[in-house]
Amino acid sequence: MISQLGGKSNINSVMACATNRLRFTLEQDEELDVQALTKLPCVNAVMQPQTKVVHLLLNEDASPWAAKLIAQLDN
Amino acid sequence: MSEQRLELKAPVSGVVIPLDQVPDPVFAQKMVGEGISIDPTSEHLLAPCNGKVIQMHPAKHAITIESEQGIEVLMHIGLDTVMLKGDGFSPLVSEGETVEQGQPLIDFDADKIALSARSLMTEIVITNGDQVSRYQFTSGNVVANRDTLMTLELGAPADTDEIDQEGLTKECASDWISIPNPTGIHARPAAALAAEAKMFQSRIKLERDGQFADAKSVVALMGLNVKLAEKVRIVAKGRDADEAVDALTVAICDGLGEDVSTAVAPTVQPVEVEEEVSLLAKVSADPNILLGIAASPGIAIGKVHQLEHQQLSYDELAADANAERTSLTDAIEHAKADLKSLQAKLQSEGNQTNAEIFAAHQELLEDPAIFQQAKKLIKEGKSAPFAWNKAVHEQIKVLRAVDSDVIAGRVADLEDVCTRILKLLLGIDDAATALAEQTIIVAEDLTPSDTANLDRSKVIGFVTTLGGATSHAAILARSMNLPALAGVDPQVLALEEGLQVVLDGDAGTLNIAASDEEIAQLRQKQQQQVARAEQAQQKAHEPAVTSDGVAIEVVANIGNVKDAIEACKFGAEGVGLLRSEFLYLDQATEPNEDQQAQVYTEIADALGADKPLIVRTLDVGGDKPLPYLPMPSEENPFLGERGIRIGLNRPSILKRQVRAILRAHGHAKLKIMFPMIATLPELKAAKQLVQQEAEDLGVSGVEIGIMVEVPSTAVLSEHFAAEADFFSVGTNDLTQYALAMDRGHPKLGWQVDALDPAVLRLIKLTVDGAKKHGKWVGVCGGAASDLLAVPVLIGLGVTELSCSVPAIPEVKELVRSSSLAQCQALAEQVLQQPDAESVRALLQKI
Repeated sequence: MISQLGGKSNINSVMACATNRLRFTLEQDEELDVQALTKLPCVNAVMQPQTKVVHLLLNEDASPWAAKLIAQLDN
Repeated sequence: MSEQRLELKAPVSGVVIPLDQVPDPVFAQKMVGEGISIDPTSEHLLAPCNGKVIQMHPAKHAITIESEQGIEVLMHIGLDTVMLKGDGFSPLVSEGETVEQGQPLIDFDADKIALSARSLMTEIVITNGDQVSRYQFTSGNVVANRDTLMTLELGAPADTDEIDQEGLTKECASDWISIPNPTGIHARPAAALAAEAKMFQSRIKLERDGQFADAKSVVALMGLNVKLAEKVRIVAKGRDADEAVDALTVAICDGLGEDVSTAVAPTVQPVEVEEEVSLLAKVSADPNILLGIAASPGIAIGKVHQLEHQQLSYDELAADANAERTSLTDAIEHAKADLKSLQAKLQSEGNQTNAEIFAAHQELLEDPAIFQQAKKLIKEGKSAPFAWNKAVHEQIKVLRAVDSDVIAGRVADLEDVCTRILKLLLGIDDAATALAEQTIIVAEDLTPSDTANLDRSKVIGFVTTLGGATSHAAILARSMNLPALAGVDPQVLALEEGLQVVLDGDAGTLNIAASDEEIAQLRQKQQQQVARAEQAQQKAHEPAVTSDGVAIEVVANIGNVKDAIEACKFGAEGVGLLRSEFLYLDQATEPNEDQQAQVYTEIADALGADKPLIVRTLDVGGDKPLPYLPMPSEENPFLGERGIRIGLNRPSILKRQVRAILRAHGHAKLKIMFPMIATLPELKAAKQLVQQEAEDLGVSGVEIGIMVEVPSTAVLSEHFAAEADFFSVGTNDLTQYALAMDRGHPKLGWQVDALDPAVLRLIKLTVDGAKKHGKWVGVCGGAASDLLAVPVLIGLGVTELSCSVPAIPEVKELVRSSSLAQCQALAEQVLQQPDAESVRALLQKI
């Protein structure tokens, strides 16, 4: 997932919101691979409400995902 | 049976999620209705079909469209989004508008909402599913307005006509039921009731106080906003009407799925409480003398004119709704025109306050809520007068629940406006009845409209049974310089028209059988009063020195530049209180330092370099909030953040004002006075700010004083005297806080008497403490303008009196005709008295 968002360096923040969404703020939008992201098993859809903001609409609770991602990104 | 289909296009793009997977039981359990939800990837809610907007939630996150076939489609963006109160939502249409499929209805900020709401999942639900026989839903992802979201097969078309349909249909109504639900019929019980109602074929309505809602519609039920203990009933029409009424009655009594056992037992209709006579009520010994509250000073000898308020009667129902609506609209336009000309007339007479009342009435007539409600009632078959009266009184009911003086005033305005329209609708002409010369108006109370219609040249006084010293009638009387009594015994309403009476606005009495002798005496007294006033005016510019050579400084209380100029004409030796609020009230933004400095300088120039100008810093409170100074609502505004407390909590505001005052110094002897000081730290903090700014501006010699309004200041005056240069007693508020009575209270106002010995002793304490540090004490409250109180104040050691401008000449004359020694002796006697009544009795003998 991280690579499809443009890699660790491209991700400024991640959080769970609206129960089933992962919200990322990115450095750049260009690196985004929307098609690949949508193909991920947990992802229903991808939304870009604003520049450099991405919502991944999951088919389950987003909090555990956010926790895992934050842990990974901090390394 | 016509088969109809309705195709609904997806209103947003995104992922289709079945309703039972939505993380909210109200939707998931289909309580609101059958439907589907979409987790959106677009930010525009589009109309799923052609139709009409029948409801837009005030928080703008939900909207209901009625399709051409009458199907109600509710679209609810997100979950718990009602809490956002509209933040993040932009409605593009309004209730009543016709829309086309694909037309944007609401734009929303998905990111903002995602960060603050529980979910973005948008539910699309059919709320009148009794008209749908089959639902077909899409799945997967959808694109707004391109993909069909659901297809509905419509069942046998239900009668959309209202209950008045001919035919073999039974109509049945339940008894009136008192709602047991603690929070009334909100979403959950509404959904339960609707679900139960849908099991019956009949058309079923829930009625509350003449308003109806389709019992099968959750939206309609919620819109009725039924509260705990309100009485409702079920009205059903159809083959199974009986069963429907029975079943729904039981369901409602059982609480519609809520636990109502713990709900507070609804209070029974308010018991009729008999009016009791207070133990404190003053009973007149003489049957010819009626007692009341002195609302405006002076004596009037005149003829009674009973101002009667007609009882207006009209039919409840009317045949032609269109005609009723037209006559209401016409009446409103007519009224607006009348009010406009009344306003203009009063403005040209210089009566700004009353002109503003009529401006406010015009505004009330523009209120869409009342008009909409009235139209709705007319549509239901009510006559225009009935509908209008009901609509206004519903508003009044809502306002009465709010406990506030401001709101109470608005209620009075609404009543007045209501009557005005009713009279127009009923063709009642309010032409001013010819009044006799020297008329004294007697009424229960006077509305602004009543007074506008009076022939001012003939009226010389007012008597009302309601209200107090601050009622509308009292304020009007004072502004017209006419004597008035309020709170008079109701038997005054039975007085014969034309009866000669004597109104004593000073003593608070109405003599209904004055002998010719008494009248002659009073006329003489009147003449003496007039002569005295003239004499005083002639000597107004001479100093006020007692017969034993003690000079008392007599200055003015003013509220603007114009007052300052007037004050000088009446002999004011300066200004003892400049109420600075006029700079702050009725403005959209806070006045800046330069603007303030300019005004203070202008006032100072009107006085002269050697005259004192004491500016009281901003004295407002929670009861009169400023638009740029938002204050959280307080339970006790008079004990809350007001006066200096605002300045201390928002030092930038205090700083600007202080700097502006300092800059005007030199044009007059500027002094700064802090209101509502209660503790020494408050004074020290404020004083420090002044000293800092004075240093910064290079200004010196500006004295700093405090108002004495809070009893603690009087009690500890010697400590305050070490820090303050002077004291000014605000007797109105000091009395209020000392007696713990609201001086504006209709029932208590009459007891808030500055001549209460408690207040006088507090003034004595203030003087004693001030003397220890050689500081002076003045009075700027109402007592300084009261000829009865002035000798006492001087006797207590007060050396400055700041009076209302018209009172200055007579106060000065009174000082000249008194000796300090006499006043001191009098003060000593007065201080021994146990209550205000004894004090007044003592003073009136002089």
